[in-house]
Amino acid sequence: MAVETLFDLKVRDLVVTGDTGRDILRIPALAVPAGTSIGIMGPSGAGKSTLLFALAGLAEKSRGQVIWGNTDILNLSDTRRTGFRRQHIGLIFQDYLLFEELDAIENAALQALFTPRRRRPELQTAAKTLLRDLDVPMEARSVASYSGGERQRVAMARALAHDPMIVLADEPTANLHRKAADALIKDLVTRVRERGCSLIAASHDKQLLDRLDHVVSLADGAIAGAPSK
Amino acid sequence: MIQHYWANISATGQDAMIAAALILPVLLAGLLVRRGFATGPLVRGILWRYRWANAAFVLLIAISVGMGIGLISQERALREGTAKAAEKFDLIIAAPGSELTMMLASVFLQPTDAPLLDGFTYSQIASHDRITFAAPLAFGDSYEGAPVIGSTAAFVTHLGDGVIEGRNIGAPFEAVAGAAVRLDIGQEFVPAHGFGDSADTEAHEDVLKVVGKLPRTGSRWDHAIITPVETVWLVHGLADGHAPDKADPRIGPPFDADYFPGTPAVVVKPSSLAAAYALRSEFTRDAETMAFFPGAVLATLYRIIGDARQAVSVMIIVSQILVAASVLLGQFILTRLFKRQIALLRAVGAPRRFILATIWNYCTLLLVSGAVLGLGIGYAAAAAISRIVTARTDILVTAGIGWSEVHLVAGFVSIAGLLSFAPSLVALSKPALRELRS
Repeated sequence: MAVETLFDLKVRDLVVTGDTGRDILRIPALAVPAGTSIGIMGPSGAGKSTLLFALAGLAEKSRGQVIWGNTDILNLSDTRRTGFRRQHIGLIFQDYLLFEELDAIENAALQALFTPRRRRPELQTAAKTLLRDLDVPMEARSVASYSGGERQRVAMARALAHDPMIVLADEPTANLHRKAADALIKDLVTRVRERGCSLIAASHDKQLLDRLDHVVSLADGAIAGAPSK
Repeated sequence: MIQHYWANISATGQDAMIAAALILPVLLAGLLVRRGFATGPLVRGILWRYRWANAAFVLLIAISVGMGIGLISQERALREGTAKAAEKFDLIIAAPGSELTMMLASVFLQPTDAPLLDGFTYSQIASHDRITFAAPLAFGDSYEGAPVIGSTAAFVTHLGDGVIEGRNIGAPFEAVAGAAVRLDIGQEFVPAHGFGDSADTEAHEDVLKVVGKLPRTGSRWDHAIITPVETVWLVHGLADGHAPDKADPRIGPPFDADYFPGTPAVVVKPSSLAAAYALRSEFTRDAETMAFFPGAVLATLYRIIGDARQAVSVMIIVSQILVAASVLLGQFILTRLFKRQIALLRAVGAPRRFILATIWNYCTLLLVSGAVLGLGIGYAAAAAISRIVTARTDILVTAGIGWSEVHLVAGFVSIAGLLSFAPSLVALSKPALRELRS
């Protein structure tokens, strides 16, 4: 079995329940072959982010199956689920979620803080290489002084530094101006393709969605039609 | 067997081991929880981001700990200071009465009306073969608030450990002033009869001259003026303790029992510890004399006020528990400040133990900083109060950080440090998703 096929995604009967007890997401079936990029579109409140977080095993009240390769992430204990994310998933958030007081390298190599000591240099080198390739200034200053585009690139470097096979991005361009957004889209899609990762991005951004292999449309917490493209 | 080993360890060694044992649980817990992780960068980041809240929190801990430390340190310093003040007074022999009153009169120079010992009794004491010296103490006069005490040159030497600026008293109407008395060598003064507000400045006419000054002794005696006991007797129109037919007028012992007007107290320096107990026993006579160790009277006093001290100790401990509870509450509030960062760490796959270690490390760092600063504040407060007490009482009170304070801080850090796991555990129990989306 090729490495990539280990991370084919199969979603079966996924239901996520909200705080009020109402089902906010229902996905009877979804399949994404490894190495594919998928965009999730839909109006605000449609459940895009909820789906993304459920795929990462972060939605607490979820049932059904989210199978990455042979691993049903919803069936794992919290510790093993966290371990799975640590090893295989890279996450990018709309508002970057960086540690504002740390510099770019420290943010990009965040995983090094809790990675076994022997693997830390490798992770730090990967983070530096990514930052350099993404044209992020690597000065000894906190990321708080960086522009939005630069910060999202740092976040992208953080998501990729540990060489994951799955990248999940939640509205990665929503806080960026068009030029920065376009540059980020180009970089993100290129890196993901180079590495053969699966990319699932929830977004309103047509420019981003156009660059992805398929687009799934969500409405009211359910898939509204077959994947397009 | 363990008791045997323990007993063989020096007091400092025992104290150090108790301190180590108190701090050990939190140290071990810290080592275990942080093992294999690098929490430093994130802790530094959190400390910097919320620097004002953190600083206020550290200051609150420091003030609370400092108050406890200050109280303990001050209480001990006061006890040690008063005990030191009594050091020069091995044994006091006086007419029967209250040992406490006589101790306060002779060691702390608190005015009192006391019956007198006669010349015969004094001769018995002074000529005893187990004493190094005996000196009468005659109270009753003062000069501008400073008590004028009649005694002997030997007592002056004893009080100043042989150090006197100028010279010792050698004739009637000469005086040696304590270090805190505002009289310089060569100055003359007329003592007032009595003490305090009721002192009668017109009662005496005799002029006394300061011939020497004593170094600071750290006792109430720094505020006293010592003159030959003969001066006190002569000023009051009494015999001077010596037979009048002697051609050579002299001062000091031996005194002639027939011309000895009486003394309320005799300070005795016994030749040995055994002699001290023998003398106390010998001069404890019903209706004649009372002999006591001022140190023992002070010890009794400490024992009596010991209950109050215990109450204070309990109050200090209770207050420290309350501080620990407040610290915990503060930590809960502070950890809520970075709930999104905690959620992010969980999202990117940080193990629970790493998050636990980071928050705990942060909380404990605030705690330890506060406690160490508190130790400093406690010391500073105790030192400031000591200076005031010393200035007001002339009893040298020097507060320092002792093992009791170290133990209190170590215990506080240990308990509060272990409790600091609670905010982290609570923070971890919150759903990460809500924070990530907020």
